[in-house]
Amino acid sequence: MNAPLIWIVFPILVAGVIYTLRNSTRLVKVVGISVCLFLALFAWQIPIGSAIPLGGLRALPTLQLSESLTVFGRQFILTDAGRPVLVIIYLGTALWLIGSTVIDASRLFIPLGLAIAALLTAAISVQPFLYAALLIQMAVLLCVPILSPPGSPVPRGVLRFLVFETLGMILMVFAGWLINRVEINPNDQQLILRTAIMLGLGFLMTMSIFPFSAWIPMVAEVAQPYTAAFVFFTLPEVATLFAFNLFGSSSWILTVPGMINSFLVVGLVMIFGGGFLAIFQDNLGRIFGYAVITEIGLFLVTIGQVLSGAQGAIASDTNLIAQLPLAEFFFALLLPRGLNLAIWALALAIIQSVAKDLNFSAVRGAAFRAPVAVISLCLASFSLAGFPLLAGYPVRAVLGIGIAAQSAVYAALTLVGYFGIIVATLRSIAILVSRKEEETWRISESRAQLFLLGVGGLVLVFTGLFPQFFLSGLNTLFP
Amino acid sequence: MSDVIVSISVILLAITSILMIVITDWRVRIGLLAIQYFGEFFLISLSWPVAMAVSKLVAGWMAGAVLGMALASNPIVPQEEAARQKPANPPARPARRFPILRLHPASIFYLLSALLVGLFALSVTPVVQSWIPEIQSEQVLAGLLLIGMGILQLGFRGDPFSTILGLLTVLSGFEIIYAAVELSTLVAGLLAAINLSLALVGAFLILAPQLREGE
Repeated sequence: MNAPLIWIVFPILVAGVIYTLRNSTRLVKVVGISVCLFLALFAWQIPIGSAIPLGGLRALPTLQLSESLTVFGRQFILTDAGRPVLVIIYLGTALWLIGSTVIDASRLFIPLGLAIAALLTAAISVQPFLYAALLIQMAVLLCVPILSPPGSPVPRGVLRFLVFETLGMILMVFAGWLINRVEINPNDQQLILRTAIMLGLGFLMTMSIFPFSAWIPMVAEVAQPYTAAFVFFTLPEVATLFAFNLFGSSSWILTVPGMINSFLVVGLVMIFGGGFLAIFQDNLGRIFGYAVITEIGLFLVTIGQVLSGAQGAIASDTNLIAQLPLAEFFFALLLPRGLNLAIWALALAIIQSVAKDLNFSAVRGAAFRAPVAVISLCLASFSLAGFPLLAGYPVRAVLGIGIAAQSAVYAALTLVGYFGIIVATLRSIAILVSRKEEETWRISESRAQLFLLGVGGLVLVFTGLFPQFFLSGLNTLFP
Repeated sequence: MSDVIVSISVILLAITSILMIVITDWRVRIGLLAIQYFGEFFLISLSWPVAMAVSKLVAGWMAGAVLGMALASNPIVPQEEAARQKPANPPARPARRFPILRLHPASIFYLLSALLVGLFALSVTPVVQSWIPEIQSEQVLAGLLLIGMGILQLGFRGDPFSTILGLLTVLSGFEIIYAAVELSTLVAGLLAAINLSLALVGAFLILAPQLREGE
């Protein structure tokens, strides 16, 4: 048996099969979600590379999952150390797919979601890992039908997304070749600079970093919020893993002047700009889009902090993140982020189904018709803005302390950004609860929607109140 | 391969990529795309074995066929094209023999922009060639021309068909340059798959507004 066959080839095959059966919606949901959960469970329980006895008897043969699969001379390698990432990818995808069953999501979402998870797994396992850009591009192409489902006009933001991601892929692939040249001529400063520029531009486009993030609010305004949020969550996550891989294997990149600081500065611009612009939006989807931009900014700040800690650019006692296990911190950031985005997007999808649109004029008074969705939306957005006692707070507090230790101005910019998200949420609440004539309270959410929103909201509050349980859970995942 | 064929390929690529920006008839643009892949094949075969270079030609033609089939079965002509073909109050004009070649003021602007991109590609070619010693100057020139014209097309037109044509053109330019430095079969396969997938996504985007959920 072979690990890449199980976690890459098998889900792609299943996705292909359930795509052909997409009119049997119940079957597609059951198979797609079961396969994701099975793959997550398998990654959690089955070691890669060591023998697993079948049954208790020694006479029975043992099963061993080999780590690598060779395709046209290139290898896909999944090691035992990478199992937590597999758990996160497939468990996260399963949870997103479960959420899609209670809203009016496109029938293509489950097969494409499964295939995207498999392609992103391939992207983080391919060696040399710069081929990952090509696999990420394949995943991007599968994201297009999710963002622009059949029967609706093509949003302009989707075309921009496609253009930026394709140009980013081209730059990344070419930068891969340049990196090989730098390894042969490590003293050629011109070559290093050219490579850094090419890689930087490619990374900006692939991860939708400012100024290439304009498509996010454009798509969030018109697309189905829940399925769009899956794309907003998944692609930057994999691009960040890609960046960590890159900096791990090509540490000379960090010697380029200003490289580390640029992560921090661009991240802060995104947090500040995203939060500030969210204040002036009159569409709940666009506010969500700008909140996603602040989240990407947060990822960049994290990368900047980790790298500056690793380089000793700032004193290790002022960089809390540098003192934490990297994988643990990354997933401590990722899980609340996924939860925030999923609950926010689910609430938006319910409000959209009630109000038919997400413009302020359409959602006026929606709190009277979908009160639980509106409460969940507020919880998720406050959590994403780093409100104390909610899931997003502990990690943002650690990051905030790190930023403030570096510069008070940076810390102030971050605070203004998050304050912008809070103001935008308060504006949304004011619109959502403003009463139209003869509006009465009624719960129009389905039981399944109430259950998912309720559980999600409780987890948001519980994780914020008792972060130690969440972090110790991560400790068991990353022993 | 003789220098004449290489030079003809570069000229062919320049003409097709410029006409793809100027002309609005989708049938002609698909035909130009097919010719463009022919030129790309010749230039890639300078660096790759012919058997491998043919894969680019086949993938490109298949991409064109996919887009062509989607447009042929699309009941609605792209809005921008329809608007250009049928103005609200058409002035009475004598019938022209070659309506495709009729020059609009916008087309003159496109041609001038294309000229600027061409001059830029011409002036940058020696610099890029000094960065990539393995490559021939014709390959660099053709690659940069296609990348520039593709980006120009992406900037000028906002409909799904033109966007996909622009991306395929940029990708063709990149492939000509990248073929000189990378001989991996996996990369060739993945790039061919991306070309085809882009065309499939383009076909989906062209037809999506008319499709019903589940189709």
